[in-house]
Amino acid sequence: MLETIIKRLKRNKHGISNVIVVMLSLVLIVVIVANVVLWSYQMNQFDWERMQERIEIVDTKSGESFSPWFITQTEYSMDIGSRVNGSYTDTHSADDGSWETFQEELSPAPQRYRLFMNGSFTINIGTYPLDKIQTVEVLLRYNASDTEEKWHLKAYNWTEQAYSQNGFNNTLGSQPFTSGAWINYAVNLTNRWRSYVRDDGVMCIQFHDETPELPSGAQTEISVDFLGVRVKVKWTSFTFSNEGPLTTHIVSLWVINSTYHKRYDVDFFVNSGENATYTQTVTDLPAESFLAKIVTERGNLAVFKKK
Amino acid sequence: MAGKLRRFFRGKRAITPVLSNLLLMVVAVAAMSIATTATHVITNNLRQTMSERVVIEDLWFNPSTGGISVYLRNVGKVAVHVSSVYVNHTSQSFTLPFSLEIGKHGWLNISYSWVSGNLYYVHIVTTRGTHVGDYYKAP
Repeated sequence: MLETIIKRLKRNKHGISNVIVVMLSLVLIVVIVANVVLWSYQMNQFDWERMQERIEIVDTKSGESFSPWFITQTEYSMDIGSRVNGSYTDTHSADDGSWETFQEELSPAPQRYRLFMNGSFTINIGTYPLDKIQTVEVLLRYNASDTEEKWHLKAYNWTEQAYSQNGFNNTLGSQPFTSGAWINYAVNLTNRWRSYVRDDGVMCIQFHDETPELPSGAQTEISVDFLGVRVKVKWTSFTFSNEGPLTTHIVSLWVINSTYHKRYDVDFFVNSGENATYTQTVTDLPAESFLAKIVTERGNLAVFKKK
Repeated sequence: MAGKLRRFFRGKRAITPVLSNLLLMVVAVAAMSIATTATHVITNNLRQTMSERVVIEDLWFNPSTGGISVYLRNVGKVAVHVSSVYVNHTSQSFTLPFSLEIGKHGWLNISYSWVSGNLYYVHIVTTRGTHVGDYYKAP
């Protein structure tokens, strides 16, 4: 039976071209339909996901806080004095059992024992823009081998091109009461900080003794356990609540009031069913009522009215 | 061996079917290529239209410029080109050309003198026919 059919097919070739044309056309139609259907499915999935997204702004807050400490990334330079032991990395954290020790040396004539050491610090202005900084603080943790003299922290004033402590909250200096005891000496640059910070965030800090000592006097040794700079900034936080079944990617943040519409680029994910707080330093919330708005990557919006 | 070759070159009985088959193959391949290209063109256009998604992030009745600024975001899978902007169903001029690549966003400034307290229907249409719009009340 099968043999007969095959034999007939081999002999009779009249409809083969028609069959081929129909088959090819069918293939083409299937390709077109599959393409459209698959793409449509993909876009439907996108729209479905977009509809499933449920993000809310639960709260907004603003306040002030300090940044982490910015520490020196290079060895201290000595104007007068010498390094006895340790390295600048030993001054990166306080109370860790390692420190760097310096010693007074004789200055050029008239010869006196002095110590002037300088360090360079860079504030991360990407995270803490200069226009959002309220003030700058410098902290030194040190000990001295004698208690006879005072020690001062100064910063390089980029306007005056000299080290200064003009405008600091404490210009009296620090004097150890006990030889070898650790002292925390902090200064705040108040609202005069801007002259001491270069546009790229670089600050130069100087630590020096107050009294020139005669060569017959004591050659003081200073150990520095920590020296760092930090900034006080305004911050704003937004708490989001994701009530949907999908992770939400927030891409835009708007702060709107009667006079302006400010937009900020955001890259923040909120897991499904979670609350998350997004904090940033570059958003100034208006004092009066305002509208906060977020936009997700899928194109959904959420608004929050603060009265 | 030489005899076989001589026989091959002397015998011409199967040449016509071979040529016709070859010709048929060329024609079939060409036809398929044209059909495939046409398919691609047709589906590509359709696909692009289906993939367009635009959202209005913000609309600002800007008192400093006196116009309306609309912040658009392309959340679709193709670049978007705005062709027309309507305010209360009347075509308005805007900063041309206005295009947004995938995932991009930006301000579209419409020259329109709005009146405080009035309600406006702002409607933005792309070259592929996608439209996005809403009612907005001027502050």
